[in-house]
Amino acid sequence: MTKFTSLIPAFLRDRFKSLNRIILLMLIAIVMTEVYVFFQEGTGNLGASLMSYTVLWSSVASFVVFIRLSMFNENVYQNDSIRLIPASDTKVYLGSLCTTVISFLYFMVVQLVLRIVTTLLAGNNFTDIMGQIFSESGLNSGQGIAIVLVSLGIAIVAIMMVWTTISLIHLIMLSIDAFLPIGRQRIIRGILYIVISLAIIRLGAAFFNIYGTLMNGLSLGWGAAFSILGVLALVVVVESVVNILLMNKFVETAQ
Amino acid sequence: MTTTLKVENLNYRRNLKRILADVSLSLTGNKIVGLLGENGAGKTTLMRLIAGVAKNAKGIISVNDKTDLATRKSLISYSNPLGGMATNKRISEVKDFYQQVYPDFDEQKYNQMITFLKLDESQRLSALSKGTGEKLVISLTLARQASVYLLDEPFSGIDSMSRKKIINSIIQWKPADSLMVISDHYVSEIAPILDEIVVVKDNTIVVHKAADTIREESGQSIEDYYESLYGEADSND
Repeated sequence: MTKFTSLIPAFLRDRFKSLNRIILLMLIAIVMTEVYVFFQEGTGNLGASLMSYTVLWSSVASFVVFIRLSMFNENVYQNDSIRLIPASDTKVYLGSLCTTVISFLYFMVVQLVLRIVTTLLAGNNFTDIMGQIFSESGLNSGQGIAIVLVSLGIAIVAIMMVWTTISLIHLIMLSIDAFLPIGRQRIIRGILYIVISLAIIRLGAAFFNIYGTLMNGLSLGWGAAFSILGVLALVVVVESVVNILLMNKFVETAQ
Repeated sequence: MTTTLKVENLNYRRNLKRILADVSLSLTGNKIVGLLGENGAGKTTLMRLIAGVAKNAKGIISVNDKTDLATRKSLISYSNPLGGMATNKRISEVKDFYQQVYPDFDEQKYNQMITFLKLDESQRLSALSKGTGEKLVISLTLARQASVYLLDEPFSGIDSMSRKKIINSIIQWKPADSLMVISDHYVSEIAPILDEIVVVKDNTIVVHKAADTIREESGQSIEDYYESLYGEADSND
């Protein structure tokens, strides 16, 4: 049987290849924009424009990366070349989700390096900027790093929740699809996609609304931050369990 | 003796349509079995259910007495490994993927087969003709060291000369202790290598006989016998 450690590199290869292409296109876009600014405005504004255009193109690239990784994630369920792998559905699902998260982290690291490089190229001192942020907020560097790490954790788990929710909607639809009569599938599928998506969004909103009310009395602090992290993680776990169950019982590959 | 492949009371419906009804089948030993039936009879569905990529069926499927899905997948090599694979991949990348995810993948055997079938590893999947794609599928499927091989119409699109060459070589590529199930419309061409035939008709298995028994009892070729099953029905209509 296929080990989890064999699945991860096999799944990572295509994701990294796709991400590297997006990163390359993003770098080309930044350079091209800077060349355009140079010919239009000369060297006077190059530093500031480099910083702002890096933010702009990075945001576009981040959006494309999110869509691309979501596609990789959803492609698993109906793909014979993946579902035929001698591994349990749990292993395949978790392998796919883990590689998607690892790929996203890889992209975030590239983004961080790019920001540091552009900051330095623009003539700013990165440590000075960080120092300024910490002194203005009244935090020492230890507290600052802790806040950054917890925020990062919340951001990663939140994006995982978005992926598990997309999968949940997709897998519910694929499961229902097998029971729909041929011929009217497209219309019913379209209606069901809207109904199920709205139902899950409403359910999620209601859940976080109750949670928000409960949290209202508490002041924002470490407890609240860890509580948010825990709730998001709980949603990820519950949705993943349902997704694996649907995958195992109802979702078959495309013919 | 352990039954290599056992299907018990298998029922399968999809989109409110019955596709398989009360299918039972028991195959033992290292035979080559022909799975025959007209288009839409349910041959592919039966193979997909055995391979574990079709779901929500009622009944029991076991391979070497193992019913667990992941274990079954490790014992079966099903000829649809390119389904859903990105078409911009090169053949060499597909092989790398196979090597990574299938612990029983035999690279040496694979290399022998792609040399025999004259496949160029640098070609992308999108550039392959239907026949060349099928040759790759056969190489990937048979390069695994499995207990059961399920070949679903493996020769469609392959020219007649290559087809005969591949059919003649199947016996040497098939591991001696394995079972092979081939579904194909070129009945006369595969008949010489078949030990048994299984015919799927009207959503169920109507015939499961040894090829030699058919030849001896009816005095007909496998193809004539198979066509007579449909002829009888047609004449009744």
